[in-house]
Amino acid sequence: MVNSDVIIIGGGILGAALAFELTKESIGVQLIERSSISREGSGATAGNLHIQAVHTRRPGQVIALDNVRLLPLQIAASRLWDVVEEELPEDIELRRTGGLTVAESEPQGEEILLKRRHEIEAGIPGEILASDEARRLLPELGDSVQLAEFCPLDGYVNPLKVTPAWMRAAIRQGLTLRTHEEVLNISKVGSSWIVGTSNGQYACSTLVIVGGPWMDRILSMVRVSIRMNPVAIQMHVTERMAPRLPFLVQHIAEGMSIKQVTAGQIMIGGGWPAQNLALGKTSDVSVESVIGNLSQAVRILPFLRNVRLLRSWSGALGATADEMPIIGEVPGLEGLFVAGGTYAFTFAPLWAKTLLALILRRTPEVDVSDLGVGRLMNIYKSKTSGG
Amino acid sequence: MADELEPLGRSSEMKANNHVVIIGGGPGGLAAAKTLARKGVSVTIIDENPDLGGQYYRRRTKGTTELVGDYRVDGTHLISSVKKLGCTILTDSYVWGISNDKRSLLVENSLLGKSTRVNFDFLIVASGGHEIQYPFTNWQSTKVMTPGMLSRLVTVDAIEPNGRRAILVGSGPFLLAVTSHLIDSGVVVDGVFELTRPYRLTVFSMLAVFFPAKCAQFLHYRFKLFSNGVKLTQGSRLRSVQDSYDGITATFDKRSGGEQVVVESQLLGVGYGFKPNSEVLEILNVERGESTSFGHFYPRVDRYGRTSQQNVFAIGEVSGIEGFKSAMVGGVLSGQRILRDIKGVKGFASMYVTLVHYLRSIYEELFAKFLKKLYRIDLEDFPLLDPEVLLCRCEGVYASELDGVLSQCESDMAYVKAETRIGMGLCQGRMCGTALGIIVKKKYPKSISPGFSIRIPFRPVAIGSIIALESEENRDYIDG
Repeated sequence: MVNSDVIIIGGGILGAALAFELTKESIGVQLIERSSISREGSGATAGNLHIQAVHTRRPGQVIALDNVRLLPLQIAASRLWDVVEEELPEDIELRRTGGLTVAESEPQGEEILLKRRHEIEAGIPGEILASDEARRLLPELGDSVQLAEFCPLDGYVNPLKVTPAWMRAAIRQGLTLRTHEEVLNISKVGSSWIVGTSNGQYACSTLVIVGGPWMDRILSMVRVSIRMNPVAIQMHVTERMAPRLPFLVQHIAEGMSIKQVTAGQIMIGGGWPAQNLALGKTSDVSVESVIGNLSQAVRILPFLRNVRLLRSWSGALGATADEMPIIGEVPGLEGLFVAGGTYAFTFAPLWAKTLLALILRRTPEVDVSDLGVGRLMNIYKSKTSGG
Repeated sequence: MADELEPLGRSSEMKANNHVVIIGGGPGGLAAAKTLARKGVSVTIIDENPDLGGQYYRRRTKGTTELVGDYRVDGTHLISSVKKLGCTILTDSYVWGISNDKRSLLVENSLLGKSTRVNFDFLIVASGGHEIQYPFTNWQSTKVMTPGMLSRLVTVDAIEPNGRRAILVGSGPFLLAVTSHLIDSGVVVDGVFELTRPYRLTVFSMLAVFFPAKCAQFLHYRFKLFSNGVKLTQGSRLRSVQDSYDGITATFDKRSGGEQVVVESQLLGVGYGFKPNSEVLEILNVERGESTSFGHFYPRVDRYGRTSQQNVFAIGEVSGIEGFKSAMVGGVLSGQRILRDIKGVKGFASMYVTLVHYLRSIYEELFAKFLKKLYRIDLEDFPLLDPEVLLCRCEGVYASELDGVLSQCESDMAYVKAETRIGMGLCQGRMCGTALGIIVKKKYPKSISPGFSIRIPFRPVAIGSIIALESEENRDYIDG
């Protein structure tokens, strides 16, 4: 059996960021990943950094998220991303392009004005733009745009670069990375957690589950059931083109995000649902979502009509039942932590720092007590009850 | 063009009539269309080229025909008879996806720049294949092309190639056919380099005994090479091509010996057989047939070309059987089977036609299997790439960039793609996908058929073309 202070289950962006923070403190860490690193949601995501308040529902999302609650977390995450870029030796293609959120109707405009007030309270910079001002900033905007908000902190990171970069840096600091190993069982012996995988057994005093949509499946190994609502959403990317779109463009009322990345391609997303969720396999891209997402994109940025779509793909999103993030220690199971839920990509450096603080029994910089595991636990099955 | 597209509006009417859609207007698709349409079945043929004919019966342009005459006249007859039977013909049209309910194809007309849904009750996939490439140093030279392209230039297009000398490299019987075409057009062939070692005396004897007609054709090719002084070399691997002032210098490794062979010429045609255009079948989730060393997707089909999905058929190259004759046999059989399904056609004549083609198809399949064994490429036949070889031409990724990634990928090609951007460009891995599959499988011999997963659109499509489907879809919902 191989012992370490901490075992992390899940080789996505949260696992990599946390491994980096822990190893920086000279804590011994093993990270176990079922396939290759960054192969699921962390690799499939658009990679947006959402700092201004987000729209509250993906297409088809039943429960709206509380976007005001997220604001202090977003500004904290924003500050940390600047540090990430300095700390990592590799170029992660972090670009603070600034982001526009557009409204196409009066009620939508009201919503932007309201969210702006909340952002001011949270200390998030931004500016409300009337339609002509918005068009002066971005002449490509379509006629239907009536009002917009510009936030200079919005941007993106290349998701294909950041997780591997974090992971490599953590390895240099002493991380033991185990890929292509599936966790089969978890047990607690005394104060140690024992993790059994397809390749062996490992022990630790602190276990962290950052398995995205697999989180509840892994938690079921310790007889914990939480209410998750994982979905597969899809992304679209065009051919490369000369720089034309300098900002991240979003919609206040609909799932939509459009940006031109460093490679020159335009990424179009917004959380439109794939046909199904096939965990561990490829979820089928929905043609109806392709058409829906691209139609709204052309409405807001008409020049896209003549750009060729190159590829579409799907990725699993480990959303919780209340569509909010989840982070903290599992009640009753000392030394077992989880993190995940919505906007985990934007929050990655913040969740890494927060988990580090919680593991070391320090007070985290942001209050996450209301985002703990307890609110989502269905039934807590004690070991003696047997099922 | 607009006139030809119009019948699509009658989608609901077609449904009632058991509408058959055929992807690919080559010999197989044409034979199927003829079989069905002459019995009154409503048929739509979709082909990406400006006219029907596929690779084998590709049409000459009007100007070329006036200048040098028609090409493969039997194809002209077949095409005109299919047109006379009233099939809906969608040329310049490319299938780039399938609706969520898997009942209609998403088809772009490249002239109109507009996509449309084509509903089907039965689908015959006769989409053929494309030539397999394996990279080597400077394969991006403009003097390097596929054997099929070389052949097309001198036959269909009746063009004298830039330079009058060529080398042919690769594997398969197609190389000999192309060599023959080049010789007929007055091109001097400076050598034919077959990767494997199929040409042996025992093979000839087997061919003569079991497939005498095919043997005669082969001897005809062989004799033509011999009488024109074309040297046929077996077991050589192409390592690099260098451009010179008016030509190229190709360098080969001899597999056994180790000494290098250098050949000068003006053009080089290289291809290692065909990869099936199987996107539609894969996205329809039809069951996979036998696995091949290249990891191509061939569907499991019965004698009639029926796949694991009752209303989906695959014939010709895409079903794994090479050659225009077997494609036509497959076309007739799939057509007959669909006729029986929708009309219950029995009749003596129909049974006779089915029987004849059924027997012929057994013969063609046996021969195809014989050829597959004969030209079987072991992955060891392909050399490891030199670091300076450009692997992904769209994204500019060199073989050296695989260092480290390959050892960590555990045969997961998506991981290699994410780490290196191989296959993320305009061709979506069509050029480099097979090559990367070979490289990965060489590293992980036990892995099962690695390949990039199929994504829509199968080829780049303008966003404006895709969203044209939105209004059409609404109309369909209102109608339905």
